[in-house]
Amino acid sequence: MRPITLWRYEARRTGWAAVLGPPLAVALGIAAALAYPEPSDTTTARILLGGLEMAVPLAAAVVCSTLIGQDPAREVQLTVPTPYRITLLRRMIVVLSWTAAVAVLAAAVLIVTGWWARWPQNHGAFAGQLTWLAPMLGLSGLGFAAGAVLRSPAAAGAIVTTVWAIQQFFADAVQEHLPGRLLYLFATTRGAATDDWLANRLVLVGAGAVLVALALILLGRPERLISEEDE
Amino acid sequence: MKDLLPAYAAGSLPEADRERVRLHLADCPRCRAELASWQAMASADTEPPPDPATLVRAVLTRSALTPPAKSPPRRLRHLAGLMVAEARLIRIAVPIASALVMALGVGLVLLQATAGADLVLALVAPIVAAAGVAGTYRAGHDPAAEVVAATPTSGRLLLLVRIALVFGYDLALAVTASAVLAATGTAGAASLNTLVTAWLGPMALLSSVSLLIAVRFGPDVALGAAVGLWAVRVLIGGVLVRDGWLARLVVEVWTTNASVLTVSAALTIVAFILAGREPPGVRHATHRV
Repeated sequence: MRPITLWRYEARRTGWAAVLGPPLAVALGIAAALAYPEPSDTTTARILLGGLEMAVPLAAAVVCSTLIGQDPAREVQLTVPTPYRITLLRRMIVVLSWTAAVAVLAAAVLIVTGWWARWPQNHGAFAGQLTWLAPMLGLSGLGFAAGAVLRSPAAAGAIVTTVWAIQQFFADAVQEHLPGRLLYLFATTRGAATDDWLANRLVLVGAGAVLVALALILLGRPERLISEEDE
Repeated sequence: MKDLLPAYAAGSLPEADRERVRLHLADCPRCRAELASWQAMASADTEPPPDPATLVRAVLTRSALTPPAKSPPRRLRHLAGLMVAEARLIRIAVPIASALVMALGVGLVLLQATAGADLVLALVAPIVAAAGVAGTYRAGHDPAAEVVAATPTSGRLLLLVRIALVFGYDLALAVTASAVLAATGTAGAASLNTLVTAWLGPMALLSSVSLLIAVRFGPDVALGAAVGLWAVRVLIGGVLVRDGWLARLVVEVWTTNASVLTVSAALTIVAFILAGREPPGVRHATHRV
């Protein structure tokens, strides 16, 4: 099988939620900006970047949390020479790549139109891409790991949305201490300390990588994936 | 010697053996007791059988006079059996994660009073229930889907039972969380009634939307749609945009009122109508002429 055929197959397996989620998340940010009753350059730019930082990572993370536990051909997957965790990792890469493509396109439009520069804490056109990339990797890693532990998309999705919501509602409390600031998902648009921004982004990327590695270790025991239906 | 006792009781032993048994019985009380039981049986055989007409009349009279044993109606027992069977199919991770998420929300409200208890419950309870409902409907992925399609029990009834279990559990969780927050006084002046009103309508609406989409498009799309709608509520009318017509509209929809509950009921009914069809994954499980 040619590699491109394999990747196209995995893209089809990810489903409509993965395809429609990121564009809808970007649209949500634009709708929020349009709906703001007292628009100003700074406020509108914050909402547009907020859509990229808040909505896009959530869309990717929810899809990643559903990758494990919904495959009807799981038993078949476990019998083929390719380890199933590699297949799941491949599907996660497809989801994140598509989300990244949409986010880059949206960011490019914001940069060209000048809205990107109107938010004071934009951190530039290049490093500023960590605005959506870091929370996307961190939250998606959490969703993937939660799916591997719980083996239930519903439960893993609830965990992801709860963490996201807690960081929204308790932004001040979460950022009160350094560990919380380093793991805060929305440091670009709601960050308490600008100096911690780069460290925060790198820690989120690292946390996402660690969580994915943990999930892959857990997925190395295929019998856990089969026995879930017998519970 | 014991082997000879039945024949001795029936009187069919040869003379020599009968004498031998008789001598043994004189010294063995255990064999005498056993012989007595054999003799009782032998005498019972000689009694005339009861008159069939008398026997039938007696049985009918007795059954007419004896009240029936009190047991739950057959339909209720069937339903209870279904609930037990469906409860086994719900993955244990779902109720555990739901309880953890709700406990986390309550814990954070108790520790940090920056966000109102009613707002936190209005946002946490609906997404927990909607995620559970989305994950509950697994027609295409259910290992027993083809068996279900071929059994006399209606697929709608099975779905109703499963949804009742999941939604009922999340409802109980949310009521418990509200009671805890109202009892501790963290919610300020908010009473239990106010707290329940904050989440009941949104929970019903988001769960019904999630169920309808799960039935039509599958659990993944349903979970994504539920999270998307929920994120709209959080970001518009909360975090990003607090005022304006769109924010007011979103907040108005995210409340408990007659319109929201009616729409939720209508969506649920539509979902159950759609669920009566064979699931997409097993479209050809049964033959139609």
